[in-house]
Amino acid sequence: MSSDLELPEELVDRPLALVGLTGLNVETNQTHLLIWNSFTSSNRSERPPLHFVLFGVNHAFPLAKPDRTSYEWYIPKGILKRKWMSKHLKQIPGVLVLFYDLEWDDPAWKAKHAECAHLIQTTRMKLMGRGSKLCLVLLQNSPPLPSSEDILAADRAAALCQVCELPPKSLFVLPCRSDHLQGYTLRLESAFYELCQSSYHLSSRAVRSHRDQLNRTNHGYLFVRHQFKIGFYHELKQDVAMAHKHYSQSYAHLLELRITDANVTEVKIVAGYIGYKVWRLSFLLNLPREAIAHFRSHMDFFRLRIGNPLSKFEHHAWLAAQFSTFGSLFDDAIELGLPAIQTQHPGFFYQQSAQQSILRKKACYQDYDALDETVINFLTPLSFGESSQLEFFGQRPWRPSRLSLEPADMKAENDGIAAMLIRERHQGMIVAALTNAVNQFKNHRSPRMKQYLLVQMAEEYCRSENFAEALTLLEPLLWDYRKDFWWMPLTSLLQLGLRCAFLSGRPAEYFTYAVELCSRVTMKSQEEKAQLFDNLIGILQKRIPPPPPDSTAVSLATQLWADQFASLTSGACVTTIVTNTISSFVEVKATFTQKQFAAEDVVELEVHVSYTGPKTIQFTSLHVALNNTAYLPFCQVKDPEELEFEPHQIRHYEFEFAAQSQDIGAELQIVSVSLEMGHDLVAYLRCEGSSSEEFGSSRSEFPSATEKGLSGLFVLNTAEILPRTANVELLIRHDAPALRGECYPLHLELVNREKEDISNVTVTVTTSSTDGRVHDQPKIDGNLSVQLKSEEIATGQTCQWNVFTQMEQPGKHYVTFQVNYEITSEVCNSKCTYKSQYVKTLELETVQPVECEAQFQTIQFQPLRQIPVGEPCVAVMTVTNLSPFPLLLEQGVWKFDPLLTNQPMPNSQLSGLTLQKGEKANDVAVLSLSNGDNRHIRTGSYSLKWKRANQSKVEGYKIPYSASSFDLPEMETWSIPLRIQVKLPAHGYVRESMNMAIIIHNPGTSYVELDVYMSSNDAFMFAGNKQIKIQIYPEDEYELKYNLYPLLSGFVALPPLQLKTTTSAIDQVAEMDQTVLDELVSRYVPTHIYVLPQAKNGNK
Amino acid sequence: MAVCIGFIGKENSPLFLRCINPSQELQFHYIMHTCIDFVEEKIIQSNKSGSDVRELYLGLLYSSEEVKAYGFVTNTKVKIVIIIDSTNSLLRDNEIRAIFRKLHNAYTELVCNPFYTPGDPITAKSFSILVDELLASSSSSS
Repeated sequence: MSSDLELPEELVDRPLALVGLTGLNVETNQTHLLIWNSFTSSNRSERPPLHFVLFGVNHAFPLAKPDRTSYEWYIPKGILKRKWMSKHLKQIPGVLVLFYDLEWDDPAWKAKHAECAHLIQTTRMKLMGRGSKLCLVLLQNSPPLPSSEDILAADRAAALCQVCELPPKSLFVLPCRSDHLQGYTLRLESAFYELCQSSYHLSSRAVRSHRDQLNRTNHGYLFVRHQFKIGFYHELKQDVAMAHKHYSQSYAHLLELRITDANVTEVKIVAGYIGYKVWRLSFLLNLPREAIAHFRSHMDFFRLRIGNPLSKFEHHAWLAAQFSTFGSLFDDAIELGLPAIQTQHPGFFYQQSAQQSILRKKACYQDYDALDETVINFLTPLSFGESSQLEFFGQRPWRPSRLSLEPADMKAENDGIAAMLIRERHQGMIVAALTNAVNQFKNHRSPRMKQYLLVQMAEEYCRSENFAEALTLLEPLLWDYRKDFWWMPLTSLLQLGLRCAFLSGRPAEYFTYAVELCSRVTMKSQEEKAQLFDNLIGILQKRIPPPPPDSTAVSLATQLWADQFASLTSGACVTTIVTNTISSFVEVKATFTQKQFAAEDVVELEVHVSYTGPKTIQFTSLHVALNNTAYLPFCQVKDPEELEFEPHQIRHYEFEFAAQSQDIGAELQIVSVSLEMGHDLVAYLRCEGSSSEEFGSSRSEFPSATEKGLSGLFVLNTAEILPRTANVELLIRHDAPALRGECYPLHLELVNREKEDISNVTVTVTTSSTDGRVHDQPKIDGNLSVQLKSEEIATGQTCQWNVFTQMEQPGKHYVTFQVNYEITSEVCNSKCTYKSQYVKTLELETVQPVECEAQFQTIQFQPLRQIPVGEPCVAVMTVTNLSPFPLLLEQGVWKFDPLLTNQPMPNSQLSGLTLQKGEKANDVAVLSLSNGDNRHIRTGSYSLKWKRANQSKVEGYKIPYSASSFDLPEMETWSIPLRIQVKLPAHGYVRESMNMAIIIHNPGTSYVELDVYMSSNDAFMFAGNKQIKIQIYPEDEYELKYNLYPLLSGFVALPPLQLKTTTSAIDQVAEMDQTVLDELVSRYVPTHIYVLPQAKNGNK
Repeated sequence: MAVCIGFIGKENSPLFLRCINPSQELQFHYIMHTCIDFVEEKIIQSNKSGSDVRELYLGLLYSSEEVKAYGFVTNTKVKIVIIIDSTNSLLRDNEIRAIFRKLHNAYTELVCNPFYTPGDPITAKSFSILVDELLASSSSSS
């Protein structure tokens, strides 16, 4: 019966209406082949759901049984006939189509049409009793005419129909020479499809008509069968809703049957089949809830209907098949777009399927073990055929087609089932179902459910002795349960792993699992742990551990272990266990005592080991690995006394060593702590990082709540080795503030306050600002930094340097002094050379030293707004000392524009002058503008060389003068149209006449005509022209002479002179602007004069 | 009838598990562990809905052929799970709510005990007696 558990192919396939084609000679007739291909080859999905089969003309269809007139004495022998579905799917067509070559105007029309009628008759005879429809297709070469015009065709068609006894609708014409063959076949197909539907409809009605003749007591099977048939016909018709309805009814009838031990398997099998149809159509009709509910009630109904106690395994197999069938139906529906949720998806059904498969296996083994040896031998050659050859689905081969009400032959029954039990060898159904379930749960966000299933899978692998697979599955699972502290599942998994490791002869895995099982978190008794502990110590002495209880294949495993031990040489490593990832029986914490160690300090390291195993343990050695392996010799323990642990003992170890010079400034890190076990074979327990606490004491409830453990310890995993702190002092002497542009000396003095001599001393001096310069010589050019060196400075001694800085901008500047040196000292009995560094920053205030202000003046030191052309004037430079120090000026150098001619002086007037704070000095240069028009000119620049007066020499260095340069103001030039010269004594006396001459010079190129007015005033009487018109030719001059007689003393106004342009209208006279004339007068002609009083004695 | 009651900590570690039949304890540990999946999913769902006040009772977590699991999450994310035999249909939703309420009260009292560190496995005797009583009463009631 196991073959009936799998769903038959005809049940699973989607039923398609069957259309038989006959009369086509495919092998010899090219046209026929073309027609056949056009029906079968092209894309089916867009066409009516039909299945075409080619029958020969003489094909014999299965004969229909004569209809029963009465069911009164009929008792059915089974529920569903095995061949019925495939018969309707493959052999009995819904429509049979006869192709016949016949033209309307065929000359031999009479004969051919008779032959055709004959063919139809014989075919009809063959399908007698079936609901199949017949149709006739005439293959014609001539193109078709519209039927109304072709009277001959109409007549003959009618005649043909009459002879063949066919309704006119069943006669078709196929113009097979046409290019549009495909189009014609498509239209034929839809016609066939309609005929099929009506044919299947007829068939289903025929089945339904039997119903009245049935009675419930005897014909329960037939109720089921008929409804199933009707459902199937509807499915062929593609009427899903109706099919679903009838299948459901059929299923309901099935549940009404009387179920006995004799027919229970048959009913279950058939229930599974009908159920399959119901669920599938429910999903198709988008009624998933209905499908699930139906399935659940199906399972509830049959769950406990086992039948013969021996056939328990069969029952579980059936249940497993139901679950997996439904699971895959559900899965298919999801693929077609049905949404599933976390709590309702195929995974649950697959899981149940796996569960049932496990039970099946268990039942199978149990019952098999209970069987008698003789029975097994007696039944080994099968005494009956395969169930797949029986007439009905789900029946027993040893009682074929017996009525279910017949009393069962218990002996045969038991023997039969026992024989099947003997044959039953488990196929990998469990793992397959579990794999399906795992995938589903993974898809539906249930990682832990997945883990649980994987646990079951591992258990199954172990049971089926596939230990390697089981171990591979276990490894990640252990972690999953361990990380959330689920110790009970973890213990059970570890035990499973231990078993697999033993049976597959793997010392390394065995050792690892045993170590974890011995830890205090696992739920095992102390005795068991002690036993395990002995086993793992035994492994290190090449003793094979005892087999786990109730295990098979012990001898094989023992052999494997012996081989393994033989291959391991003495001292070989069995395994290295990383204790961070498991909950082992040692906890290790390693810590530096400080966060930072100075370079010269001793680095101290502490290791705490807590042992929680069941028995006293002796480790061979302990190593602490740091990120620099050079320290390894300092960080190990080999003394056996120090490495012996009682249960719950904690030991502390301390290590110290000197840091190596390459680690200075770096970080030391504890990489791992390893404990070595065993002599003959060794195993390492390695704690990576510095703490293996993760699965340890945070859960104090499990075995020992009282234990102190290491939980309170704070761990410093890394320690920084600091560079030495320098012990030198740098003294800087200087005379602040610095002056801008000055070569500013800094006097450095480095004092060695170390206890040892220092060597290779370098001092790097760097300025912070980009326009600052620094130099080790008194020069005003330099770099951004300068390095000073000294080979060695003895302890307590000093070394001195001078550096010179120059700042181009006023403000705050920073100068950094970085002192590097080496020192050799003794730490931990070894001489080490250390580098040290000392940094000092100096803030340097820089100020502006002098201020220079330039002015142009007339020769009379009157300020000038414009430089007159061709007339001498002076440039006056006022130098102010802004610095707090007296400044010594070396010289001021004028540099004029080439247009300005200057009478250079041999020495600057400022040379050698010392200016105190706030004092001013003037430097004067006489110059004249040779020619030019009215325009702006750059007059030039002035540069001043200076230095501090009190600082001519610093420690043997001569400080150079610094130069400051200033631009002279930009000036306008002015070419004067008239030059007026006044000759007048410096002063006069009252009532003593004096001479005044006014010379008016025309420097221009044009003739000038002027009116001159000399007005009188109170202070003077004068003689001379009071009003005169004068003409001056170019380059000529005119002299006016006056005799002045002062009347008053004091600083008195002279008689005012006024020049006016003439009003004469001579064109050639260049007219001069009155304002210009006024300005000229005011500029050249003095307005006042000192007049002294007459001496009292009257004498001069 | 209720066959198992379990407390799961904030970080998904088991705090307490008690079942009627001690031989099934391992199996219930596994089942309890799988329940976390459903609890987490339900919490995510309720967070999505965005209401501040969350219903502590989560209702049916999942049902399989053998068992039905009901869940409850305290505000401190301690999960309480009650597992009920699938064949039992007598226990009603409000009865389960009542059991959860009692368990929640018991847990609250436990946390008030200064000798108990939240997150540690529960060893308090009074607590386990109370859970045992609840288990016994819920199974005898049906």
